[in-house]
Amino acid sequence: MFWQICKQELYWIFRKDPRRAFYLFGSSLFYVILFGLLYNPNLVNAIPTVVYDQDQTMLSRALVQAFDDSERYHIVAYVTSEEEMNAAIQNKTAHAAISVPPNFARDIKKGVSSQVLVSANGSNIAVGNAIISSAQEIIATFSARVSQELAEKSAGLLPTSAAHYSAPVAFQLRVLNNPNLGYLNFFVLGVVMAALQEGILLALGSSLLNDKHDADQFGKANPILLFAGKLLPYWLGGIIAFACSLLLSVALFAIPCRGNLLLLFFLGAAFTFAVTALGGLAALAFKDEVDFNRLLLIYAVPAFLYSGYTWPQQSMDQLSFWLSFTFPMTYVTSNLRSLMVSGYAPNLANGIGSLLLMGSVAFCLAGVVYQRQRRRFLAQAGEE
Amino acid sequence: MSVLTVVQRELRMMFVSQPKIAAVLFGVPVLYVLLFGMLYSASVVKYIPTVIYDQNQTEVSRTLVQAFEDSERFHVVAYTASQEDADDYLRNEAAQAAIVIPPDFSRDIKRGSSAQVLVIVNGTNLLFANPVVGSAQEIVQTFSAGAGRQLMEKAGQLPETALGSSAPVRFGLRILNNPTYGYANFIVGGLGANGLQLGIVLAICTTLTSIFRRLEEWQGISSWQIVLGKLLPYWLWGVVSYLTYLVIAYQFLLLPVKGSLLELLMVGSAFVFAVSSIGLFYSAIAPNEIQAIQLPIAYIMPAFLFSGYIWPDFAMNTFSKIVSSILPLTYAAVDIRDLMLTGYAPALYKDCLVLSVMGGVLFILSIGVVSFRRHRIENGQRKLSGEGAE
Repeated sequence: MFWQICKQELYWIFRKDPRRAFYLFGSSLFYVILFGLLYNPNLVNAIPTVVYDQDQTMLSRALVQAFDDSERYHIVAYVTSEEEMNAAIQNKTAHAAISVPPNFARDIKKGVSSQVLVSANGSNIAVGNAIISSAQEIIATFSARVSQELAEKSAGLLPTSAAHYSAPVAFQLRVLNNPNLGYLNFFVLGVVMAALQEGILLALGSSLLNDKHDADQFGKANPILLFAGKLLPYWLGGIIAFACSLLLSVALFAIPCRGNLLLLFFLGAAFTFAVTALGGLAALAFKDEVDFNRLLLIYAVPAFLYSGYTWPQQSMDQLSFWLSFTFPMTYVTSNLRSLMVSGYAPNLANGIGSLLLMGSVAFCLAGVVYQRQRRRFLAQAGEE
Repeated sequence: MSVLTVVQRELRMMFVSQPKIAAVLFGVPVLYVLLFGMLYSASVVKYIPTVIYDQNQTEVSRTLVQAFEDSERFHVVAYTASQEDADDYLRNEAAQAAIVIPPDFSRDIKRGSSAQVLVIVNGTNLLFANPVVGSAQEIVQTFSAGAGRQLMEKAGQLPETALGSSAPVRFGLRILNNPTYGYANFIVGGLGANGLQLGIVLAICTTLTSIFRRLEEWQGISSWQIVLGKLLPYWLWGVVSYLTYLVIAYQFLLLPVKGSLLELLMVGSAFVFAVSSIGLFYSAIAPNEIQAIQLPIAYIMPAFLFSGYIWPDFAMNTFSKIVSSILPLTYAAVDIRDLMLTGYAPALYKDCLVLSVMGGVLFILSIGVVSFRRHRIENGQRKLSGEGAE
């Protein structure tokens, strides 16, 4: 009986209502391609920049050259007044401005330090971050070089020791797992999980809210069995979609897959199980597929942003922090990213356990509700 | 019947017979602004868990460690005694950053042979990694300049010139428009706009689909009257919802709203018009209500991420630029943020024009589709009744 129910459901998914297959498999794959393409540049480079060089000496031009040589910056204009510089940022012809003060070279030669002012439009943090870290680095390198020359001249030091005197402590940075702080590794996997969740839920909602069709055929079936049989294909389909989308992100966009495949499989299976069971429970509360779909769409964005995938859980306020634990996405997105990108996810066992628990509780509850609804439905059908 | 009657009917439907429609349209943006305002209320990621592996254990190295401890960005969770321990903390994500000070740190500095401080950061979540890179760089450079100054003094320079020669070029940073560099300032306005378009689409995208099942109710009303009459209530209610979410952002979340209300209203109403028209058009072509409601799944998330709101337009490839250019949010979200944070949006008028044209074209197309489908159904019915008469 159970397998017949599954078979019937598969027949619906692929033949009678192929929309469901499309949601189940299509949404996550669609997102992999879409966002893989969007974040393919990986870094915010070629930031439009204006230069306000009030010094116009060899030294100041060398500094400007250092910015020009960096891939991060694309100098769009040289301006001659502060107003022009501010206007360029206001009008967004530039997102960054480099202002070299007058007497820049003279001050430095005199041994008075001089300040280069970098202005960044902070309204977009993705751009702001790119400016802050790279500008700091460019200026530090430049400063160290100038200082070395100065030390050679004024203090009469030998070139090598002059270099050490001028920048005695060097900053060395090692970025693990995502060496150039790119967006692809950081962002894509989480968005794809959001799509996978939506895909499963849409397909499942379509099944549970239109399932009067199997009333005659499976009239005598145990409701729990019927319910499980209806859910199973979506769970399995979800696992396949999970695997395919990971495969595609690795194959097309070179997102690293350093984790153990078996662990990845468990994570995917636990996540799709939790989503299927919770979705099953939620769908039973609705009469109308249109309303259920409305809810799903409203749910998608908070589920993603509350998962701690971007904004970390430790920086959330109390209420948001507790709220974040109610979303299955919380247990999958960060773990998946860690597993793929670094090969190890410290909270994996915890995450899988929570997902399984969530899924089991939801499934039991849904089973009870479904049983009741089914009895009422059969009783009504009997009366008619 | 006239446009006004259609408007009345639609209003009754939205608020009386199916109040969930009005609730969705009004509620989603408000809910989003509240939810995300709460989520990002800390606004800056601070107290990033950090371990220190100080192999030097001298006064000099402890001064540097103190500088990290004093910074709000870092929260030192442990001092480790080996590199392996530090790596374990990073691996287990008990720490996001590690500061490693080499054994000969203070001796190297005094001798004038360069000492290296190694900062290791987990790059997986950029919201941790970016502030670590920025702050650590700053702390180490400040420390280095101080140390360099002392060395120069020893080498025989006067104190005043010593700083000048050890750190001749200083880095000054001015963050415009978002001085606290807050995440809430950056993102909440756009998420609200995204919620707004979701609310509109969810509310409106079944409205025309349903008329084809009960065409007899619409006899005597021309197609343009139906479409216009159906558009107006959603448009107005959408603008009300938009203003409400701005008020919430300003009053309760204390986000800056520097722009003129008129300009905010302008971009908001153009945006609501464009999105409503998209919803209307889709509801006109969708075969049934269920399919009409499923369009937004393919639309909502891409619409936000492709709008140039986070990933800037100048860093997009051609494909993304094309996708971005057909999404209405592209022409509204960044402008709304600009108006909120800086009070000035350079592309405002151009964007409002694009949104109006977009909305206008789709509005006209919707009328076309409605009258086409009506004719087809009516012709079909006439044929049927003709055959019946024979």
